[in-house]
Amino acid sequence: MKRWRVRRDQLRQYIPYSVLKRKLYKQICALEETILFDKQYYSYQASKAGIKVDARRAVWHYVTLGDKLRLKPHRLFDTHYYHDIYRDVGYAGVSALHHFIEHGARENRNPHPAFDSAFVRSQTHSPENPLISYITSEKGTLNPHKLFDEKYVIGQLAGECPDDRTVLEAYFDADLAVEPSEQFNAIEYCDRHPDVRGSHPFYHYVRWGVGEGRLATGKSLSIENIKEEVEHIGMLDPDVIAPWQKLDEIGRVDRLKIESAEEQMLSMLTNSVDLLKPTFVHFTDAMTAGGAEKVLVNISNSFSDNEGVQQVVIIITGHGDRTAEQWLDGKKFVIIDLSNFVDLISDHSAALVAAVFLRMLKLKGIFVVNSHLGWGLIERHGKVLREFCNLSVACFCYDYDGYGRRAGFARTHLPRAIDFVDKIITDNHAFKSVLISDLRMEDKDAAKIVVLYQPIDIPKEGSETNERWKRTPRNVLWAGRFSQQKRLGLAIEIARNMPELHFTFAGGDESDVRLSIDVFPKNVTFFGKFSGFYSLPFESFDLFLYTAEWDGLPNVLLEAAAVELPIVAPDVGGISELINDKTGWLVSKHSCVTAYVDKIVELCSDLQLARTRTRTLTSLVSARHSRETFAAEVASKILNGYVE
Amino acid sequence: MRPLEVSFIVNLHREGRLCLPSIETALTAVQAANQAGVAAELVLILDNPDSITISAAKRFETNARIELTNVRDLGAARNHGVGCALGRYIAFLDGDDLCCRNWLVAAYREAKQFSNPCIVHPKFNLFFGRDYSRYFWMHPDVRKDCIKLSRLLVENLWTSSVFAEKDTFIHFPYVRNDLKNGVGYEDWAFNVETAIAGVKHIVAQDTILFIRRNKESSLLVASAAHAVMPDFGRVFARYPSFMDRIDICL
Repeated sequence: MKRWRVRRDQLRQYIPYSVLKRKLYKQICALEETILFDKQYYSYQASKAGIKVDARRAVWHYVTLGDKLRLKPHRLFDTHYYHDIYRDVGYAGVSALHHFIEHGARENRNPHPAFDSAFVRSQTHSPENPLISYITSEKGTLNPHKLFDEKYVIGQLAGECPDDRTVLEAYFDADLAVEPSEQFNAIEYCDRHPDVRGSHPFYHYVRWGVGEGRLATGKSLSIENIKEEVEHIGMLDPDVIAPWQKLDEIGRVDRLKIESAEEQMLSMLTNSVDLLKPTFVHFTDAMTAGGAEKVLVNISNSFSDNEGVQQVVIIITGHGDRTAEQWLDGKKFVIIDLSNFVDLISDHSAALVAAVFLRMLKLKGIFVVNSHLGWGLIERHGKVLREFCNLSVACFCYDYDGYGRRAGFARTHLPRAIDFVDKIITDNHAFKSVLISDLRMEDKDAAKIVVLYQPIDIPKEGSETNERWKRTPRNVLWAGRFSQQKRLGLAIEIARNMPELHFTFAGGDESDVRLSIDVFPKNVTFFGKFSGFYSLPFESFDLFLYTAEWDGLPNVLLEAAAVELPIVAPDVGGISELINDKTGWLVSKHSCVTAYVDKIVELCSDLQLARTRTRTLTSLVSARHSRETFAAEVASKILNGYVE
Repeated sequence: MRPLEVSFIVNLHREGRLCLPSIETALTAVQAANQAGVAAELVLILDNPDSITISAAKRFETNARIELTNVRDLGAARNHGVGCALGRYIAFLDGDDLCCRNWLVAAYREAKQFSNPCIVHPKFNLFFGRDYSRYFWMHPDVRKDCIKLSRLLVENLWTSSVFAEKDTFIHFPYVRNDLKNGVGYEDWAFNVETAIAGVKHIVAQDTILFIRRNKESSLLVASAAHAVMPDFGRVFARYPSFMDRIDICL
């Protein structure tokens, strides 16, 4: 461990003070050697406060008493400010300057309100103490504050800046007519805020004025030369300036001084893509591993596989994990995450920026899947964009809110966007009928709806799946999101009524179940989250239970069908297009627990029938939901006319 | 007779009595220019006007040239004004906005001093209106401000009251607003196109224009209602190579 030693010659200065503690030694040693302690200035300042301090004993005085009196050890180190802003320093039991040297500088703490350590460090790119960097730097090379332009000040000081002072120090000694930058005029600030008299206007502004929201203007925003003109024009039109309104109190806007998130968003978009390539742009709020994202990926992959497509841009407009990205297959994808921007920018502005970006592209098509920005874009600027490209949206079913009212983009946005979209893509015929009825569609609008059965990969038949039909059915699988829509509570009640079977719930664990269930039945197991249906040990299960209250044609049923799991599912949305009396066990829409139990009992009691129906189901899926069929449908129904 | 240097065009539509102070300020600016040795004329372009606006404009017929048209669009009306203008330079003023007395003289001097093709804007705008929260809005100047195309494409940095050589307006005619089909902001498209083409947007010191807000017949209000986007189609078609360099200062 390093031992702190005080040189004998230094010790001699403090001989009258016989009891010196190590803490004091340490501080004194550090401060004696730093250029941040200006002994002459300290003595001068103390004498102005009525305290006589020998310059040779200045450090000792500061450490033992001066810091408490808030005396400044250097013109650019404001003890009072440092203690006031950083309250932890007082508790540390060290002087402000010592804290700054040991810790504060490294943490970019500011020694003075007019000195922004982080700003200086951004110019020096050095780990050195920023205040020391500034003091020792050549004049005019570093700006100590965003509102302090050294070269601008030097130009005004015209030789009044001696070598032994920094420009910032010289500025505080100079006449108020000297401006720290074009953004601040001290005289105007004083005139506008008479209460600041007594302290330096620039010091007042950076110390308190900014936080108080006081208006500060400089040469660049000075209206002095146009005041007369404003008064003159005000005589001609009573609306120009209201009676009793002070001109100085009218706000001033310099747009370029304000950072623009819209500009950053446009830069990010344009810098991410090849503007010269024919491009399809897909919008989605999320890339989580959900059903809608699966559809987005299926269609995106199909686009990418098409030889006529050169670039597919996927714009993510919401927060969340991006696990679905792993499903994308191809080199034509550009993924742009705008989630941080959409929080900062109003919906209208974001839509406008996106529209401008799209006009810059060689745009072939836009496809929107559950993206707030994407839907807003079509609603606001679809009329313009459809002149240049194909506009497609995806709707699979309505959502429902806590009151049972319809929700989701198909409900809230499609009615306003329908005139502009070319294709409305859904994955089931049932919802097509619902949309035609609900939106009172004429034939031309109904013709926009394209039903695309989603593709599914069929795993090669394994010996274990054949084993399923040789054993007594016992294990039930339920898989999906633990949400209100999926009615996990109903499934648990079914399990409670069928103690002879064992139910496994995949998609979460007990802590994810937001239901008022005190005790789970003993025949229930939670599998936890899973990354894909085929990652589940589906060979161990004998049937698949689905209980959603509303849905389209859920992907999980296609996957269960692909691995030859007998399925019990409700007759909601487009499920009946897959599950019927020949392919599984369909429970009517509003059925209770008993109806599900009856169907499961029926399934378990006749294994031969179960096997027959499931084989039929698997055949249906492998024929209707193959990748080849899907690619052909996408090419003919969406891409046709938009790729060469 | 001195050659005419500046044509100051006031675009009128259906401003009614609101145009009276606007034309007065324009006339004062023209007179100030003539007194300063800059030969200037005042041109009032009335596009599909109502009777109140016509009678208001006629009050100034001894000091201004009145041109009637029926193009029913501000961009097209400005282009019509360019065709009517006799001056080497043209300045525009919307029929319900007002200008300062020294606007033409200051803008003319600024343009003459600047060696490159330029468009001069007033240094300040005062956005005003009854019960409107007034504010001064400062125009940027490419000579001292770094203005990137990325910013200009998402935000119109200059208002429509501009001063430039007539040739500039001939080379870069205003696009027609088509609010019902979702495109407009003719002045924004003009600013972007000229900036990309290398015309420098500068400001004249100590000048101010007064932009009226909260007006019922405002093109801006109508544009917002129709979710209009700027018509950059011509810009993107003419300058495709610029789109890769939107982060560079113009």
